[in-house]
Amino acid sequence: MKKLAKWLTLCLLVTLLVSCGTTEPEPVEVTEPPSGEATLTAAEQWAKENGVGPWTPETEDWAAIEAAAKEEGSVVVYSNSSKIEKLIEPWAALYPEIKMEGGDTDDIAVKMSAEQEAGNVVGDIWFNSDGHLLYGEFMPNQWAWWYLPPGVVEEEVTAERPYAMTRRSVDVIGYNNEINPEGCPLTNWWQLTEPELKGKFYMEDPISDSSTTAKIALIVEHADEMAAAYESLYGKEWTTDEAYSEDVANAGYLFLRKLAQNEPGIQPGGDEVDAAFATLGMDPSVEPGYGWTGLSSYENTMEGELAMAPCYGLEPVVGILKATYAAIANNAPHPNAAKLFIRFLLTEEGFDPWNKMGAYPAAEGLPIAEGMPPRDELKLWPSDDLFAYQNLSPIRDFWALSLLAP
Amino acid sequence: MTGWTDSSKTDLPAPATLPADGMAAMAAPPVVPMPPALRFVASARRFFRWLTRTEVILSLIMLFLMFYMIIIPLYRMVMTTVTWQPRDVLSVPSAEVGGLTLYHYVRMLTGALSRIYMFTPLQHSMVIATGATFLSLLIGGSLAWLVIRTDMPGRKLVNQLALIPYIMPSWTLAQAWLVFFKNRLSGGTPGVFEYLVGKSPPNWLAYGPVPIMICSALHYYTFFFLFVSAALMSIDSNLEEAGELAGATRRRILRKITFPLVLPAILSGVIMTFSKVMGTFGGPNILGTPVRYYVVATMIRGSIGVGDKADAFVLAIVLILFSLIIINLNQKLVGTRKSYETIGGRGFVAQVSKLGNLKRVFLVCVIIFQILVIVVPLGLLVWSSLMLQDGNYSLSNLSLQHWIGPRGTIYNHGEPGVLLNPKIWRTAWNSIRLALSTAFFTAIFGIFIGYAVVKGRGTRLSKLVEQLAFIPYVIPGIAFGAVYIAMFVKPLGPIPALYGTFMLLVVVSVADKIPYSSRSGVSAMMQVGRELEEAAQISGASVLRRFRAIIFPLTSAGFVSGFLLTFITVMRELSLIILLVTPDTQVLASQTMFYIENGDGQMANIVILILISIVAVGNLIISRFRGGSLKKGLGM
Repeated sequence: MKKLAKWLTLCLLVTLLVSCGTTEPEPVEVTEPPSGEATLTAAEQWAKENGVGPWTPETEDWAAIEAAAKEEGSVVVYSNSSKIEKLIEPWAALYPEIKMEGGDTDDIAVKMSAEQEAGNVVGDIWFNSDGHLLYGEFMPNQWAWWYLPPGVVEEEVTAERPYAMTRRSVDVIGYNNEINPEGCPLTNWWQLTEPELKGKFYMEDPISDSSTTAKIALIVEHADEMAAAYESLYGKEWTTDEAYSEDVANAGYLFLRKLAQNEPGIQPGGDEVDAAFATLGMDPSVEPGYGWTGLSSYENTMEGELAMAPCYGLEPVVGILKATYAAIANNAPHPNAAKLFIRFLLTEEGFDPWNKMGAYPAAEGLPIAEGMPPRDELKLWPSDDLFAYQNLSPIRDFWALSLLAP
Repeated sequence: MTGWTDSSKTDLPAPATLPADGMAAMAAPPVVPMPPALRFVASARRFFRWLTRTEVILSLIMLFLMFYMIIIPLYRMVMTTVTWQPRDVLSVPSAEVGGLTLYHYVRMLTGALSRIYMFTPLQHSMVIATGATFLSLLIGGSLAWLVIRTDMPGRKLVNQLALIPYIMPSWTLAQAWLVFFKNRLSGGTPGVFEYLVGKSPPNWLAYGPVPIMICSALHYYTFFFLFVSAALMSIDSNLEEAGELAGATRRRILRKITFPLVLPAILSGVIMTFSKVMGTFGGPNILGTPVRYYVVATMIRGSIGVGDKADAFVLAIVLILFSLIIINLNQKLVGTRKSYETIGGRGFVAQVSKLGNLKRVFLVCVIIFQILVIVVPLGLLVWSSLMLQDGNYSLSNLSLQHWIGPRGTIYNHGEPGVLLNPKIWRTAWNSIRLALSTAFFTAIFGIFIGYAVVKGRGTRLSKLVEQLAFIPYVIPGIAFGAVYIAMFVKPLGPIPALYGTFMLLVVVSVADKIPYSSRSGVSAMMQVGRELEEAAQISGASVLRRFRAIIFPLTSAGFVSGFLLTFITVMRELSLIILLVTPDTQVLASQTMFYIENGDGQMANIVILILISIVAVGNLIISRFRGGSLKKGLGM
């Protein structure tokens, strides 16, 4: 008893000590200027002063911005793609006085939110996918501002979804075109849940990889279309399925449950998914299966390294459309250089490193990579990042339960 | 000589100084006003005498440092789990962000989800950790014995090579395993096993607990190798000979003399291997996920990946508690409190066993073993790095493009070959800098902790220091990193905001590695006889001089092996720092991960090879130093 009391006291003491140490240095909010704009938050004030977010002007004086950016001297870009390396030279040729810093790094969202909370902003530009975090956390907290340079048109940018996208990448169901030279044997996503394909569908892990969780969230979001596809394949209502039970809220969830129970081959990364069903020279007597993978892999097939080809005729959709965003960090140390850089990203030259099989430019008027079907020819579900953010946890829980419950 | 004057001359002052000052060690003693009551004076004097003892001061300094580096992060972790997080509002609308709640514990510890996220993975982790620990004890222990106590040829080489599997990132072996044993489950082309045997290997051999255990054991046996060989090295053969003279059989000597003497080392190895495997991520991710064999570490990583930090921390806390309980039980069962001083003030003799005809057999076994765990994985790495296109094994596909190719080709997103890439050089320099500074600080900490713990053995303070120093070991790296990023983005007490700086990487690495050098510091110090330092103290040597002339030389083997171990681990540490690196502070290990995620597998392999070579060279230099200083320390 005495020992227990001693421990409790110790715990209490530690708690006190720690909380002293941690609450004390809470950073003081930037004091707002005592003016009529007291209703603006400090972040909004900053956005207004720098003409980003809702305060993006109708026209920009680019000469002035360039001059100011030269004063700033550099721009720090956090990119999740190592192709950013290819921009170093063209950028340096255009703006030799503005150094492009940063580059490829992991966990951009974690780092940028930490910088915002610390009030110690290092990176100017979010050049990253993870839209669910951009919309779910960065937008409401005013940690990153949208900036679509005046004159650039992006069809999907709206008042509710204001962040500029640089590209839309396509994820599809792939098949092995070496074993199946006639084309994809599948016609409907629901076939992936049938016993013949048990253990034959390869994908990344929705339990440990949030971008895969966001992908399967789209199936839940488009449950009606999944229900229609079920009916068109089996000629009956999805609720009549034997896997259906009370806790399956819609046809999207039903699909996830059936897919999970069909023992999908979970692979640690996209390359492993491709290797699993589309390696060259696989045994034709064994069904190679299918994979949920990037259309970009098809480029490797065209170069003769892989046997992956997209199933273009699937119901309800061919695949999904992911987004990569460019946004300016709140309190970015180089706001003008950041504007200049985003404008550059949305030009043909700035988009060039990513203008490949598997991706569409988001800005209108840019050329589409060779071999890519026109955008309206493929039926794709565009990623809905706010929905993904709001439903990530329940969908992951549902998947884990379906996959692992005995 | 009273305690008071003694302290003012020789010992350190009050401990409540900044860490840096504490390290520098000397400042003015505090002034005490004379109290009226004599009794009080006496107790105050006693208190000061206690306070100014070297081990107490060192203990207090270390406690202060560890408070910042370990307790505060742990506290943060716990607080996150018991408060509503912004994300929770989505599933529980009534939640008030920041308010206290047990929601995360209820979610993770009860109901159907708990079995999936918590209990089954915990059981898996346990199985793997136990199996891997036994296996690595077997491998590491026998290798250590062969190298230190036998006349097997090529021992020096084995000594060097034994470290290599530990240098390689832990998932390298797992990947090599898959190349050999993969079956139809993961599709693609058949593995080497199937190619040779003509039969697909069964699932239990290709995936799941068995391969994870083996790969982890092959990675972590280095702990046992290092600890046991250090212990064997410092056992005076006179002790064993005494047994022999007294008529004991060989087996009895082994059981009654040698084994008890290396027991503390084995126990250190057990604790380290067990807790590290409990938190390991790489192997289970590659070998477990395809058969849905999840462990706690994969689940933690998953929760952090989807942004549910609180869930992740609940898992981490349970993992920590569980590891602590297991280790405690283990200690109770084996009884670590027994320890022996083996470096006395007398002469030192180490005798080797003659293997005779078995020499060749052992040598061949060791060679085969090392080919399997070193040459094969490394060979695969080298070969893959020379393939222009991954997976194409034809000779015409060999190229140096990924090594020294020019910038702007169609390969690797236009990046130049690794050796021509200034980014990689900067990254390599960061890695070296980080590993050296972390190793230096942890090794110093190790000696201090060792001294504080051993000299104050039996006191509560000593126990507290020892237990605190061990804690980081059971904190899974990814969770540690996630707490640190939240902690050091703001100034914390006297410490400025460290986010984005190189310092932060050093601080978190030092915090994470304290257990390593604490263990080697303690076991090194345990073997230094008290009489040596006491003799010096009586002759009037100051504390600094005692450290310089006695403690450091005699524990230099421990110091250097602590340094070495930290150097190696930090070089390839990934999960701890992956959240903390920025483009400017990128290190080789995180660069590897980045290349893999971007599909530049060959570039990643080259970076691993560079990493391994740096560590190998570092190892060569550092252990050379160790040999020299060990001799000097023993007066030979």
